[in-house]
Amino acid sequence: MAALPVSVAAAAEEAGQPDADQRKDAMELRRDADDIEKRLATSGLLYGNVELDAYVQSVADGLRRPDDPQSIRMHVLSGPWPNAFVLPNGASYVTTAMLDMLDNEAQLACVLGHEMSHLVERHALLELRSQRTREGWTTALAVLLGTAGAYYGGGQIGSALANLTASAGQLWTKAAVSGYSRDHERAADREGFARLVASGYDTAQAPIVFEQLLARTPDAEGTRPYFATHPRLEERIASFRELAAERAAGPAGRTDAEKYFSAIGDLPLDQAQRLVDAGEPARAQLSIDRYLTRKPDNARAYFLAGEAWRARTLEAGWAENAITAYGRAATLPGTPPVALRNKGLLHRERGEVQPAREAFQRYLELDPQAIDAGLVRLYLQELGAAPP
Amino acid sequence: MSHARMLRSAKFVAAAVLACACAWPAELPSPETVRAQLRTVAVIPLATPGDLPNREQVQQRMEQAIETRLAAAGISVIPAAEMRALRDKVRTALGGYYDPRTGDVDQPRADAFDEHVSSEFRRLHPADAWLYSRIEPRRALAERAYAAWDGVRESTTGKEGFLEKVFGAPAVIGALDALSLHVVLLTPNGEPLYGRYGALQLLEYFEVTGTGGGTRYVPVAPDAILADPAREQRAIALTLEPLLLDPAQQEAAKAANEQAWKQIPPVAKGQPPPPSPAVDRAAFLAAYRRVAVAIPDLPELPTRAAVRDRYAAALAVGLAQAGFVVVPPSEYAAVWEPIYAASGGFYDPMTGELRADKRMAALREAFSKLGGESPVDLVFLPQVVVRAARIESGKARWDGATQDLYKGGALFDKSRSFGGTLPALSLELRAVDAEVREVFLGRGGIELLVRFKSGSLLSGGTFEDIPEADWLTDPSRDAKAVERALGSLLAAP
Repeated sequence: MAALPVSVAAAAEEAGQPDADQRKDAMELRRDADDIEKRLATSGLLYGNVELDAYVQSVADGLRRPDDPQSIRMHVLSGPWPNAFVLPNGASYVTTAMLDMLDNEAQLACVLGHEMSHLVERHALLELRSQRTREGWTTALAVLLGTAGAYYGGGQIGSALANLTASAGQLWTKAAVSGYSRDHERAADREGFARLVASGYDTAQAPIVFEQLLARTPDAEGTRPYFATHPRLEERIASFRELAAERAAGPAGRTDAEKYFSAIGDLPLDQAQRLVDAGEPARAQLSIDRYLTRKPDNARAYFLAGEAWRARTLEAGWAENAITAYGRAATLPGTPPVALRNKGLLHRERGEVQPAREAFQRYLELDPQAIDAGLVRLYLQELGAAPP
Repeated sequence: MSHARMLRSAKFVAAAVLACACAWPAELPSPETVRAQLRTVAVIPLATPGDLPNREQVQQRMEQAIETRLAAAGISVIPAAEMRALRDKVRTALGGYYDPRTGDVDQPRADAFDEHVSSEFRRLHPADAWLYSRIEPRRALAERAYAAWDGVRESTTGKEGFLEKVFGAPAVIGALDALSLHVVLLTPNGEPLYGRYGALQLLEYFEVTGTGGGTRYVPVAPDAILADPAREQRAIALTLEPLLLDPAQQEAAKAANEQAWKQIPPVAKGQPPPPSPAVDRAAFLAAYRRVAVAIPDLPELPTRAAVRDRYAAALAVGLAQAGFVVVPPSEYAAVWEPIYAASGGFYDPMTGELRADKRMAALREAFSKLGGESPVDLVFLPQVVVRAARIESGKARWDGATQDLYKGGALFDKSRSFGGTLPALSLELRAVDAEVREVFLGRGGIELLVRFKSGSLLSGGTFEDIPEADWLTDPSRDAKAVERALGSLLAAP
């Protein structure tokens, strides 16, 4: 028992189970959580930015209370959908899609405060002990992470995650990732909100998080694990609005938007790149557009916009839009040379000789040792231009 | 080719050949909608497994058959030869896209290849759609007398008569290795329009052994693999008719197809592989005493360096126990590494295949420099490879290893009713002498790459892949794998 987290053991006692059962359940939780944490660490799905992990950890630490029996260890996980979850051993994950969606630190604090409350209130164990709900659970982690695997590389990653979830397809896994029972979600909302208040954040940001989630809820059944068993989002938005309104008379809290965007850096562009690679160019475009409102002179963002448009070939004007985006990238410092190559290829396909020449020439100027430099020189000769 | 390399090559082929197959949307346009839009279709060269016998003839035959089918449906065809020529041109201009040191796909080069080929082909050959086709290994669901997969049902024993089929079949449920044709139609920019599998042939049969109901697997004859054009026509019909024929035409074709397909004879059986001949240990030790061990060739794993060290150590111990004098690994590395660096790698950047001639030349040079006054007689070349383990009575058996599929109580063990093969890892140990002749080949099973998950009392069970991060993590298997690979070279206990 000594090796178990205090909170898990205490929750078992509260649940009124005989000692042997308490110990068994608590050990089961801990073992599965440790296993999943280990597997996630080697799954290739961690975003792997040490500074960003440290920043998210610092926001979580700022929400802690002195009497919290357990702290959380934050990790950023590459994921196609906004989500956050905490394992019963304290390992907690927030997806890149979630960080990309949020507008400021106060919103991040709202998400983390909610997850922290699940941990501190020992919801995982309480749900594990609830036979009533156990029968209805399925393997939600498989849905979330299997989806991530399929998005981000498929094959081995997808298979690794399917395996991960298969070995820990327990009730709490579903709960941790896909949402706890309504009562526990409401309790975590209230408790998380209280932490937000205590830490001096702008509480009006809380309903905005859920509004954003609602706006980004995918249509396809089974691809919305965050919402699968959550109370209806509209209901939670209303609840948060009421809670925020109660606080409205008090001093306005902080949002720390600049600090937040500085910390997440180019994460939205990394997310966009992955979404383009995953065949989700329209969602990638959303990330890019949000990023460009803050950094309108970023060459990589325009290059990715070109890539996203080039993958939207069923939409009218895709080629013109891609050419425009590549062209804008080309005018900015730090443009990836391949933006010029891809612009040249598009012009060449369309029979636009002069712009194709210019793009290819600029490509070779920027990257004379490019892998395909020889091929591009051949194109230039065919187009009647001398290679640089 | 190592598993990781195979995996990556397969991924690349999937990416390059079936561009959007991994992100296949839930809803494709109906075949009627697609058919109405098709005026010109570009046929992309048929992709085949690298070790397919008569690969070029099969490609030529099937591409031609596909082109004929499309033309018969009133579609203007851009033949596969056009894309093949363009690919060759771009591949040559890029200097290939395989890493000569590892044989792995060089991803930036492969991406550039894909980009240029697609763009150039769109420019030169405007088409409404590109038709990709690939011969893929498949698993035919086999239950007693019949195996069913991708639109056909065939005898699991290769027998023709009904009574022979039914009474000569084992009471086994499982899977048999098979081949299918996979056809995918994409827009020139990669949006998927249509996809279908069509069965080609089984690659193995069940065979009942003795009177106790035991089962073994017998491969089909090597010269019977993709040797029957009628099977190819059937696969093409299965994949293309739903796209090219309207429902009334399909109904009309169905009866004729069934009649014609009944006439297709089973693929000829081959012989089970003979057991490896035992090595005369005394004679071997007399001929080759002083040996070196090359750096083990392993799949690309997160723990590759540590596993490599473990296997190098286990091999040194095993070979010493067998009676060899083993040159210290550092001595071998000091000679080998400069030779290897100067070679620039042994893999062909155009094909990713091992250039055996280059490697032999390097090994010859290494032999000449190894050992100084005490020459090395033999170099052992260890490699971890993916093999097929046979499932029989709840146990997987391969290369001297046996592993239980299920470790729980017998009540829940559903694995005993499964048959077929599962992927597994083995240590493959080759030895070459100073003339670079292969004088020894042994394999020792290490571990399965899938695990069996038993279902409830009523349900069966499932197999799930073991993630690469968990491969080769149990050091206790190392020595056993070495022992199995050395086999008769080890002294009797």
